[in-house]
Amino acid sequence: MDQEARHRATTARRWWVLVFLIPTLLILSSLVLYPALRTITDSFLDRFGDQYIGLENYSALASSPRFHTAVLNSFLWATLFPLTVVTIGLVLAVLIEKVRWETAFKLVLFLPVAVSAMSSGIVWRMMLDDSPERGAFNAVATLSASIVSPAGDLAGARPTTGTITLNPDGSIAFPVEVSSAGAVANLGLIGIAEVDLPGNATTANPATRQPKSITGTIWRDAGSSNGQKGKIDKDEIGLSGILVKLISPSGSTVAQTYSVTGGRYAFEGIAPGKYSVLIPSEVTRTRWTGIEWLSPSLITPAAMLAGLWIWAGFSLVMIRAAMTRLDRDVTDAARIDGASEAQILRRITLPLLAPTLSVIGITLAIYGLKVFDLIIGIAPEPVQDDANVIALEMWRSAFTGLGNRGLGSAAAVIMFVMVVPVVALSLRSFRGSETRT
Amino acid sequence: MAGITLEEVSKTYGNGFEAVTNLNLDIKDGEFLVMVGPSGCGKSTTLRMIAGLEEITQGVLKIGNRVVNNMQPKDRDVAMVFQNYALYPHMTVQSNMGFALKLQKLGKEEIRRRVEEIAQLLQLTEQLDKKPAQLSGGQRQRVAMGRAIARLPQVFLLDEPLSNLDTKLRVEMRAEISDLQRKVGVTTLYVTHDQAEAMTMADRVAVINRGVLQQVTEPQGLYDQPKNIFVASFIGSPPMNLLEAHIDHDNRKIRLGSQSLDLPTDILIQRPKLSSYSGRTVTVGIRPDDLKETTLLPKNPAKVRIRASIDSIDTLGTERIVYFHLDAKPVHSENALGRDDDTGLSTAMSARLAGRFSASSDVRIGDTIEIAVNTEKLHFFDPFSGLAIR
Amino acid sequence: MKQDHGVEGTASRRPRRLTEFVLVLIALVWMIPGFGLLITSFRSADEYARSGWWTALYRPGELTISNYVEFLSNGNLLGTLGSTLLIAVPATLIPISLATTAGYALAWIPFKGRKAVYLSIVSLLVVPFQLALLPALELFGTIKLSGLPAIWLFHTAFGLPLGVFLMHNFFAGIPKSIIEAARIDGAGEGSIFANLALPNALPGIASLAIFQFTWTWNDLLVALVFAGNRTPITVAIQQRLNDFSTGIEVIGPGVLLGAVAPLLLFFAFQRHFETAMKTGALH
Repeated sequence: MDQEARHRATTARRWWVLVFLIPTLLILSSLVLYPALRTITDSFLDRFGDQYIGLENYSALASSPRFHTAVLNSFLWATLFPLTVVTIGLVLAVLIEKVRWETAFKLVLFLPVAVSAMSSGIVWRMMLDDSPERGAFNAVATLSASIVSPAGDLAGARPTTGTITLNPDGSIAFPVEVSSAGAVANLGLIGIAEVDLPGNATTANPATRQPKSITGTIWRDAGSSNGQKGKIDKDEIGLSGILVKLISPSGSTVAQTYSVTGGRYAFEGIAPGKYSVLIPSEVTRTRWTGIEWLSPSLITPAAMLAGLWIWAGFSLVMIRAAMTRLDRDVTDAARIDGASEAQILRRITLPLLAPTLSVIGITLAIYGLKVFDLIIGIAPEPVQDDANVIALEMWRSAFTGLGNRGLGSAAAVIMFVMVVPVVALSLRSFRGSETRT
Repeated sequence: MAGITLEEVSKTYGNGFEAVTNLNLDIKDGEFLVMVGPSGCGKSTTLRMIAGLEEITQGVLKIGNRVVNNMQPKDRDVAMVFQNYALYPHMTVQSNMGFALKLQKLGKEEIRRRVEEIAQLLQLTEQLDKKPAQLSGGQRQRVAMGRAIARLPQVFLLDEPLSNLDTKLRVEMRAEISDLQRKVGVTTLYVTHDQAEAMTMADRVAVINRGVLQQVTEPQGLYDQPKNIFVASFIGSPPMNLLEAHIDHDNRKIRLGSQSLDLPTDILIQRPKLSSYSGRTVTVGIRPDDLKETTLLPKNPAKVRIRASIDSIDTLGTERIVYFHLDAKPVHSENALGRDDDTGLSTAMSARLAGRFSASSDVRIGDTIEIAVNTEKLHFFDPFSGLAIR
Repeated sequence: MKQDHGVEGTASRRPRRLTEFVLVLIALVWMIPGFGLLITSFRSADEYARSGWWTALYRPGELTISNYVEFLSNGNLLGTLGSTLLIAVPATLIPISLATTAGYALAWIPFKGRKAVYLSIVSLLVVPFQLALLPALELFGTIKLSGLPAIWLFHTAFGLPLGVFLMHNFFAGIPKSIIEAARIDGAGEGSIFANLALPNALPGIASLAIFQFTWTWNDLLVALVFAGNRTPITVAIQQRLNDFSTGIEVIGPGVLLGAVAPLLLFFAFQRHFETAMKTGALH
């Protein structure tokens, strides 16, 4: 009868275990475990999943530059990205400890987590638009740059004839030899934006030679449809108010002046010899147009920036929670032992936070390896190859175009292989957190 | 209501650790039995086996006449108070106390009536709608008690229920719990490491050490007639002074180091077995109460005195505990039981003794004084088995 | 709130000002993208192509609600929001109920091999769902399952490892004596689960709900593979990404409206979520 009672108890228990666990185990084995294993075997099959083709899919991937980019980017997403997010979260967590509006700050930083990765990508694509007219980031960047070094009156101007040289710094020089009869140095320029033309611009006015002088005209050498290069044509525009310098052969500035109406300028009372007439670089200096975030070389950092925007708050909130859970007595003890705040942070707080930091890092590394929607959102079609990650490549191989099942599977397997080191790490910390509870 | 019987009960854990060994214990119907022992001695394991939270490896456990070895906790009709109270954090006091009744499918009205009755008994009426987090430590303790009582179980099990309270509250609750137990008359097993709780509350005390039951008897008996060195040293504060002594061949004198004491003439009548220890070394136990200042006992004969110089004094207001050294070999209760060969202690040739002096005593540290020994109340133990010689 | 010690009072005030300034700046930077999107969603595609959203700040007259009017009056677009809801709600509720029961069993019902089962489930956390897409699609094909149920099952499968892990941690955090007290009080496993474990695991359930709902609501890839003609909002937006500047009329309101539901859920469960963070059971 005793045995029976025990038997009944264990049977009841077993029944509950079955009811509570079977559905989960069933779903996990049929939709996670089986498909994962199946994908591994599929990666050795052809595009229809019919025929065994050995390692062909892998060698195809290995020889595809696009896939190389994907592997490199995924690697960065699994290493650099979590490292950055955790570091920034940690720095913010330490800084925020001192201010009173901690909750509000955490909330502001945490909210992007709710926005979908694709949407975040889209938002940042708008923010990082190359054009300073539309991208907020470049608007601010160019605005601040133009305060430090404003654009010149003839931004981007360049000469039209070979006799005039365009120096690497953007300045324009016209070598002239002056005899006692004087010399004429006409500077024909193109590449001048309509908006940079003087408001009261008039037709260019050819200069006449004068003794002991260098005279000339600065004009836009492109106003007329049938005009000739290097020649002041009838309806071409003279550029007034432009700074011109006269440089001696030794390189020093002999004189400087501004062009007047019609684009004419004159240096008078010049001794004969070799000179050059120079339009300095500050006149031709173009406006800085900002960073091309969405260009091939910067698209991955840009995407990570969007990722940082999403996850920094998460990292901050988790680290702060761990910090408040730390036993305050320990830091107090260190303080009494004479440790400075910096020492407490380095010697006490950081080591105690290490498990939390590694768990956040691992979570983000796994996220980084799976990143997909974010790339779709932020990378415009032409640069998608440069922002490529394995998850995206897998999707493209398997589900777009004709669809290549074997190749897509192989990409997925490589993605999984990259997760393996993270698996090892995470199992270790999971075991750690299990003994903790 | 029912008693609890343990017959040769043992508990061995999966890692081979034997927590309880062949325990025989009979807790009578309505009795308040306190189980006391150092931490890790197996007392909580015993309690949890009775509750059904631990499986019994060997032996028979009965509640009333039923063998309950394999019964689920819920079928044993026991109530338990946990050290940390284990109140359900999301329920009000009322629901905490009524939870078991609800599971018994009692009517709402009946549950309410019973909970209110018990709340009144425990002065918890005001707290009924609060949650555990809003209560003070003492109130939580009461709720835990109330939850146990509300079920009107056959057996109460209390696992160190007062150890989370401050000293003052603990003393108050001691009285309250024994009062309550007397009122409800439920068989109670109370586990503690605090001998003061054991002595003040229990009908009988069971001392347990390393999984082995040492002695079960009423509190005074435990103090006066400890069965072995462990019980002798565990019960009483300051603990009994234990040292090696030599009994002369005709049982007249006992030598403690370089000094000797006359034994009472009727010592062999009181402790017949002592005769076989003539001319041998025994362990002698002297309670601090039995060491007094000679100046306050002018009639005390010189031959039951020892001379010593005072090392230190604890002045407690009502009394002064005086410490001094004798050049005799001290005995540690664990060594004497032959379980532990901590040789560091046994080689020392100087024993520190404590005496309970009156508050009016004016001895000072460094004084060399004569101390009267109440030789009538000496305890003798076999040096090898540690058992009392009677 | 922390108080300065007298000695360092004046010395530390300046760095603190600087800290506050830097933090305010960071908070502003974090808000700008969302704010920019908000403004953009009230501008026409022409305006979007012509100038940055901030110009609207000094020309508020050009703001228009026409994008929203169009979005909300377009049955197809509105339907995508409905589809998203139809996907996300069951894809959250199903795994939560399974993870809760499984987590409880793994934490509190003793049985042989419990630890091994738990560890194997948790180790599935690291299987990227991309690895399962193709065979799962095929599997669903053979059992003639498609559309919503397929998405629900797939999301459930890949939400379970994290869910079981979280819920196990939460249940394991309940003091053992409370469970024992209930067992002595006469509660069976089912009753302990319903009356004790569940109410005490609410913060965990809420956190899991936030995670899973946000994930399924915002998902793109799983929907692309399984949704068929049940287009959720993410897919609708994705289809317009190729022509970004004209698509902005849909993208702007779509992204904003799409973020509303997760935010609402977050604010609704914020208290529980904070409790969960404090207990440290989230990792």
